Parts: sequence; C-alpha cells; structure tokens
Amino acid sequence: MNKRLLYSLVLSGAIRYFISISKYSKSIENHVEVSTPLNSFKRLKEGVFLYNNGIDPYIGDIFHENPFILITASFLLNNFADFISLIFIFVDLVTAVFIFYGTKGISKKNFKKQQLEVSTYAEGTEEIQFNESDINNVPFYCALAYLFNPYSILNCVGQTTTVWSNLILSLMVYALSKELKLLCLILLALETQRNFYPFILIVPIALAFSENSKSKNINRLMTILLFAGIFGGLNYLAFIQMSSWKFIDSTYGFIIHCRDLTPNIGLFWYFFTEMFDHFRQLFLYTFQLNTTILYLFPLTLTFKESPEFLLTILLSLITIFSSYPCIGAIAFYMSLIPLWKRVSPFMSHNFIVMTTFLVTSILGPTVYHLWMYANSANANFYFGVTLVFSTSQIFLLTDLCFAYLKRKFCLSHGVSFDKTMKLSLE
Amino acid sequence: MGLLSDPSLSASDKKLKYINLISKYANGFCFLLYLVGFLWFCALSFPQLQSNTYFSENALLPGLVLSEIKMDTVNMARTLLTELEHERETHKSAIPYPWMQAKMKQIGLETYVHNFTLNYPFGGGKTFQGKNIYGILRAPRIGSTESIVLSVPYRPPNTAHTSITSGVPLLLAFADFARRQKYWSKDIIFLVTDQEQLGMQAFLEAYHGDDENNILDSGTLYGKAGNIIAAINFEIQDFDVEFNNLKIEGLNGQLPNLDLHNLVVKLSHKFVLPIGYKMKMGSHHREDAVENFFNLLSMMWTQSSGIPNGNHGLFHKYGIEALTIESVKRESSGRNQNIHQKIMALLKIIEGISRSLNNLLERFHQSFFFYVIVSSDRFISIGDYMPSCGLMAASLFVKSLLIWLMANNKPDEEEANEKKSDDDKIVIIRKSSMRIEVLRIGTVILCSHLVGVAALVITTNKIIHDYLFSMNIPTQTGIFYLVSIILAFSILLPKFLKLNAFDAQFLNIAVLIELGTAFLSVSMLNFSLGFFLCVLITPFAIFINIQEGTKRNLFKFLIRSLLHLLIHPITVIYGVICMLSYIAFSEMNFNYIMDKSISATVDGITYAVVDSLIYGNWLFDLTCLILLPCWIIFWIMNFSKPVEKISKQKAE
Repeated sequence: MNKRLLYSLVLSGAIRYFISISKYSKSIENHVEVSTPLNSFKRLKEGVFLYNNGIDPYIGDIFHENPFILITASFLLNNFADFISLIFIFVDLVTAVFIFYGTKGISKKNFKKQQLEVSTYAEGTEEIQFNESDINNVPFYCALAYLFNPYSILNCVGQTTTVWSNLILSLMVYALSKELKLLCLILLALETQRNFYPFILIVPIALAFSENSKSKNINRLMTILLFAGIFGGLNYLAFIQMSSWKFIDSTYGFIIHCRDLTPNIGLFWYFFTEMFDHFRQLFLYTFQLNTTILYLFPLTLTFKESPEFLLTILLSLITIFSSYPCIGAIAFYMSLIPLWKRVSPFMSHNFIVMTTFLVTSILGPTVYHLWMYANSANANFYFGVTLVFSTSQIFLLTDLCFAYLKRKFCLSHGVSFDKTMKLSLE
Repeated sequence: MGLLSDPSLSASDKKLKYINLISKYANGFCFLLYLVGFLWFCALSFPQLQSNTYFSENALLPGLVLSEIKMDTVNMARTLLTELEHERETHKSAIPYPWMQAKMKQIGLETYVHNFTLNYPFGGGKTFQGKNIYGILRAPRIGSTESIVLSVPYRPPNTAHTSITSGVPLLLAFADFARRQKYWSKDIIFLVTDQEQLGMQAFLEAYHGDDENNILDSGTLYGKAGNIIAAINFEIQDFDVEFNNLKIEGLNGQLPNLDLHNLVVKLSHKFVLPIGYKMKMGSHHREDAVENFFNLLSMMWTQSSGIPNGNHGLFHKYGIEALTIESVKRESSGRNQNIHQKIMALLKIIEGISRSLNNLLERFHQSFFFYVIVSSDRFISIGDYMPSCGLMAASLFVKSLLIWLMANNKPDEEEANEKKSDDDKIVIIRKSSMRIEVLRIGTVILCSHLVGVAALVITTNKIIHDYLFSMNIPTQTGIFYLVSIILAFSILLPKFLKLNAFDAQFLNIAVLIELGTAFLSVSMLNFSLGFFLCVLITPFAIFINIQEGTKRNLFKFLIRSLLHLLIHPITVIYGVICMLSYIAFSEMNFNYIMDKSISATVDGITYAVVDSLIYGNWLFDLTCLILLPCWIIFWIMNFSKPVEKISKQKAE
C-alpha cells in the first residue's frame, strides 16, 4: 500500500478515535446534522433490542433500517459491544481505502480513454488533460478528502449507519472500476435497500458496463433487469429472515412518505410541516420526482460519455434532495470530486461555495442550539441556514457540471480565443 | 442558468479589469462596509428607528384582575421583617434555616432544604457548602405539570454586597396570601438561595437532573414541582423603595422574552412604582439620541461579558424566562410615612405577575427573544440591529474574496510580455507560477489553534492547579504564570513557523473567513459581544496587508508589530480594565491605576476561568479557541518573508 496513504489512515484514525473517546462524542451523536431518523445509532440499538426480544422492530416507528443491517448490528452488539466505536472507525478507514483503489481504477480508465482521443484535442491544452501522474495523485486526494473531511469525521464519531452506507458505496465504486458487474449490482441493491434513492445510480452503472459491448442497449437493459432481479431477491431474503413484509413500508415507505419531520439539513421537513394535508401527496410526489428522475434523463444525455462523472453528479443530487440527508453522505460525494481535478480550473465559484459551506456549518448548529436548548430562536432560523447550505451544495454541483462542459469544449477548441468572440454555453 | 453558474467562457478579460479596479480600492471598500455597519448601529439610537414595546402574548392579560391583597398581608410582611432582623443577630454568616423552615411550614408550603457542595477547582480540593431552602405551593386546580419560581437570594449580615433582606419577608407574606387563593393552575416555588449565583446554579442543575458539572455537586432535591416556565428573582433592598430596576441580562448574553419584561413594566406602572431599565433618577428625554446611544451601549456592555447580573440569568440556559426586579432603597434618611403603600404596591406587582403567568397556556414564544432595550418602553429587534454586525462581518468576507481574486488573477510579468505579442487573444487557463504550499499553511493554522487549545487546557486543568497549590503558589499568581507562558509562546511562534508572502496571503484568507464566521455566530448568540468584537477587530483585520515588494521597510514593520501587540487579547483585556477603573476612580493617579490594573487583569482572567468551569460561560473558551489563534496567525503573517527573497535564496 501507498506509504502516504498509510500515514493518513493512521492519523485520521487517531483523530476519529480521540474525538470518539472525548466528552463531545455523545453530543455529536445527538446532532440532527449527523443522525437522522434513518441512520441514528440510538434507533439501531433500540431496533436490535426489540429484535433480540422477539418483537418485530418494524411495527413501531423507531426503526427504519433494512433487515440485513438489523442482523449485522445485532451480531455486532451482542458480540463486540465494547468495540463498537473501533469497528466504526475501522469501517470508515476501509471506506477510504476502497475510495482510493476505486478512484485509482477510474483515473486509469479516464487516462486510457483520453489516449484514444488525444489526437483530436486542440493544441496547448496539456494543462487540462488527464495526466499520467494523476493516476497516483488523484486517488490519494480522494482518500484524503474522505479521511480528513470534518463531515465524515463527525459522521464516524456519531456512529451512524451512513458509515456502513459509505462502505457499501465505496465498494461499489471499486467494483465499478474493476468491472465486477455482479458485485457492483449486489452492492447497489444493498445500498438501495438502505437508502432507496441510490437506485437511480443503476443508470451510470449500466452505461459504464455497456461501454465495451457491441449491442449497447441490450446490455444496458440486461444490467437493469439483473439489478431488479437482485433487488427483488434481496428483499425476498429479508422477508424470509423477518417472516413478514412489514419492513417494506417501514423502510422504503418511511423514506418516500417522509413521515418523520424531525429537523434535518434537507429541504423536506420545513415544507411538509407547513403543508395542508390535502396537498401533501401532490407535493410529496413532486419532491420525490425532483430527487430521483427529474434530472436523471437530461443529465444522462449530457454526460453519457463519462458514466463516472454522471455517478458523481447523481450521487450528490440524491444526497442534497433526499428526505433525510445527513453530513455523512455529503462527505462521500465530496470525496469523489477530486477525481475531476482537471475540471477544476473552470470552476468559478469555489471560493464562495467553500465559504458558504463553512459559515453555514458553524451557524447551523448555533441557531439549532438557540432554538432547541436556549428556547429563543425558532425553526425559521435553522431552516434559513440549511436552505443556504443546500443552495451552496447546488452551486457546487452546477459549477462542476458547467466546468466539465467547458473543459470538454476547450479540449477540442483550445484554451485561447479571439477577444471579440463571445462564447457561452447557454 | 446564468444565475447559478457562469456559463460564459470569454468573460475573463472583463473580470480581470474589474479585479484590477477592485484591488486598488480593496481596503477602502471593505472599510466602507465596516463604516456603514457601524453607522447603522449609531443610527439605531434615533427614536424613529426604534419600536415601542407591546404585548404579543394575549394570555398574559396583565393587570386585568382585581387585586385582592389586603392590609393584613402588608402587616405580616412588616412583622416577618422584624422577626428576621432579630434572627439575623444570631445567624451572622448563614441563613436562619429553622426560622425560615418553620415559617414556610406554618404558611402551609411543602418545605425542603437543598444541600450543595462546590469542589473549588483551584486550591487543592477546597470545598464550599451551601443550603438553599424552598417551599412549593401546589396548584389546587391541576396536577403539578407546570410551575413558576419566585426567588430571593439571601445575604447573611457579614456579606460584602448590598443587603437585600427585605425580600424574604415579602415573599413569605405573598406565599401566605397565595396559599389562600384557589385559582392557581401552576405550582409556585418560593426559593431562598444561598451563596448568590452558586446556590441558584445548584438548584437549577438539581432540578433538571443535569449532573455533568463535576465541580459543583448539585445534590438532590427531595421535592419537585412541574416544569418551570418562568421565574422572577427579587433583590429588595428595603421596603422604602425609591424605584424598581429591571435586570435582564443572563448567562452568555441570553435575554428573557420581551413579553415578560413588558409585563413587569406594565404592572409597575399600574401600581405607581417607578420602574426602568438601568434606571437613573432624573428626567428622561425621549428624543435625545445621544442619551439613547449611551443607554444602548450600557445595556450591551453588561450583556457582552456573558456574566449574569442577577440570579435570573442562570435560568435562561434551561429555556426558562426569568428576570430580576431590584428595588432600590430611598437614599434620604428619615422614616417615610407611606411605607405601607410601598409594600402594598410591591405585593400587588408580585400578585399581578404571578396571576398573569398563571394564565399562560403555552410557554413564552410569541414576542422577541433577541432585542436590545433602549428604555423601559422602547427596544430594537434583531432584524434592525443584525445588519450592523452582518455588514461588519461581511467586510471580512469581502476582503478575503478580494485577496483570493487578486492572488489568483495577478498578471505575472512574463505573461504580460507574452500578452503584448498577441493582444487580441485571451487565455482562459493561466498557469500560476507559484504553488500554494497547502501543507505549510495548514501547519501554521493547526499550530496556532493548538496553542489556543493548550491555553484552555492548562488554565482549567485540575492537575496543574493542584501542582501549583502544592508548590504554595496562590491561584492568582499561578494563573499569571500560566498566562505569561502562553503569551510568550504566542509571541515567539513566528520564530518557528516561517512563511513567504505568497502563502501568507492564503493564510490571510483563511483567518479572515474564520473571524467572519466566528463573529456571525457569536453575534447570533450574544449580539453585544459580537458587536464589540466586530468594532474592535474588523478595522485591524482589514488594514493588515501582506507586505509585498523586495525590501522590508523596517519602520513600517515596527509600527505594524506594535499595532499587533496592541490587539493581543491580553492587552485588550488590560486596556479595558484600565479604562473601566479610570472611569470609576477618576480621582486617582493614572500610574497607580495602570499598576493596579495588572493584578485586576489577572483576577479577571481567574474569574473568567471559574465562570467557564462552573456556570458554562463561554467567553473564555471563545477567546482561547478562536481569538487567540487568530491573533497568532496575524502575528505570523506579520513576519512573512517577501517572495523574491525566498526565490533568490532557492536559486543560490
């Protein structure tokens, strides 16, 4: 293994460990930015307790994880209860390792793809072309972006199940880069079971696996059907395990219907607290369409030549717009952004986006404290801050998309232009 | 889509022109923002920009009920006072518990004594004991779900503070009256606290089962009432009241709901007792903007320290609305004839407040929580005052953005030559000749914050203080040594961490953003503190520029270093204390004051540490974790080397 990666792993593992044994770990775990109804460790423990006592945890409104996580957690809590925080840290570090190898594979692939096209590029574009050294550097940056991202550190200390989610996703990226189709689809199905929204990632994955095949459309269709089969199979396995279908409503239903209006960093809770009940269904489906398939088709058509980029964009979209977003998921998509290092010269909002991230990340917990504990501020303060936070994420996303297109244009037309020319991608 | 992202490719030339323009006037522009923010605040002292207070919560119905207090309650208060004075002769240094307990039981309250212990963090395991005494009047109409607290701090005869003995008889007389009424739907807790704020803190911690504080052992309460929704604390100096004064500033600058403040003011007016916020006797000119301005500043000054100015301040932490009514004694000697009326008025105010609070259906949530009081009937709400802080903090963000733009778009000389050759071309991607050394900048940021963390840890660590105690060093001196170590370390740090001017620019960006973020969130939590920090630090942060060019101007460098030292947190604390003592003791020799202020500074820091440990005041933590590291970063930036020098060195 890479030496500097090893150092970073040790260092970030130490940071996670020291924070998790400090007195702050409990309050981090209780923060709504970290723990949502979907991923909180407290609820997981409750669910395991019910399960071990022979009560179906899906009957109540506490537990919303899928049965496989329930069984795994039950096993871990029964056998390794004292090492739980260490296990979480270990899982998080493994995630970083898989991000490293996954993004390495993708970088290699990008470089190879570029070798085929490089003859068509304009002169003087070396600066924005993928470079051979990127194959070593970029994965390291990606791993760093995960290891030292405060969001992922807090997520790990808060012991949310998003840590496991991130492991599954990183494994999926790894499988994708190694072209292990079956593994990739199983992992995607697992993650879909946990979080529902990732099912749209089947599109970039189908695109990626069909790149070298002759009959592309059939291949894609087969991939999607295979995914559907695996997903159905997994749900059936879960049914056998739980011997009831209750979990379907308690997991997918809970996510789609947004039943828990606990404040979080997303856009759902405030809106649906205010909503007249008559219109709830209408807006619910509008919101869910917005999260899932509204942007799926246009983005797919635009970025179909680079499924990995599409994957990054879709992953961040579902993170921003999902019904129970948390900072752990944000940390994961952020760790994939360094993959597009060569796109970054075209990004024009870095500074503003980063500043807004910082300010809202500090201001959010502050006004939440004022609202909940000091009893002085109210929901509007917190929603205002989270709205700005989401907006800055969207800025980051659109900026990335535009930068990608600008780079593509510049690769074929060169980076210097006549002053009189007006160029716009509108 | 142009709104979300810039889709054009060819705008960079125009952008460059703007950047050149902006970079010329960067400091001026930022300072203008700062000035606008400051003037905005000054403008708030005009009555036209203030609002009159009003009631938002209809359920309070202030003063609508007929007062039922009769002369017998007044007489009881007077008798009780005489009895208490008698008891005080035998109980010189503690509360006369037996008497008080007997009285409460006689009235018919559920009476309990609450023991607490303070394990003093300094001075090798010294402990202090205290005992609160409280009685609960159970609501006859409803189960104990909600309650209100009426509290009085008790000061034994040998106290250094102003005596406020009359509060206890007043409260007991009211308790006697209240027990005979049948309309209470909330429990009333009559609380007499010991040891000033410590007793109150212990009571609240015990009441809410908050046992995180291991310095204050808050003990157990053997009887509890419902959820406390409001509390009124009385500091009654004498029955011969000149006027009532309201104290609202709580821990960490939290304020009670404005409705509660209005309620007390309205009832006082009704029963013809002069009342006011920071009341000074004398005529009050409504339209005088200058006086308003000083009123504003005086409230904000009290609020900014985050130290509660009465026992009410500790309630705020638990989301309980509370304030203190301080009845100030009449100065002129000679017994007043209408003292009965004064007692009656006080009792009626208490009755009115209790009945209004009794009416509440929900917690206070309607009116303002974030406001600044100008006078007892006018205030400024958050929407009006926040822009001033926002603008000042924004100037820091704008400055950092401008530095960022200038650093990224600075036309290099080579490139400028190149540009001449083909003038009609624009290059979209320009390769920068300098590489940012992220690692080095990160190291500087990390180290300076580590110094801050170290400052916090060594001043609050029990082991270090036990060691100092065992060495026979008094706490104050010990803190003085510790602070000097930190001071020396923070000043010497540039010796170990060297930077060039180019990297220093990015460090500057980072520190500006950090300061801006800190100011914004501090001003949300405690507007006054945020405002004063902004006023003090922002101009300094704006005018710090990294010295460029090949040579370092020694004179300028010295001036700069001096300026830096002036803004060091410790210098600032010292300056503030000097100023305050100069105002308070203006007749004294200035040199003497300067001398005395040094020990006062050390005392001040000690109290800040104690406050942070016992009550959870975060002013000290903020100074250690944010302000000191930021100062260190500025200090390191001051010693950054010009760029050319380094590149030459490398070439050699």
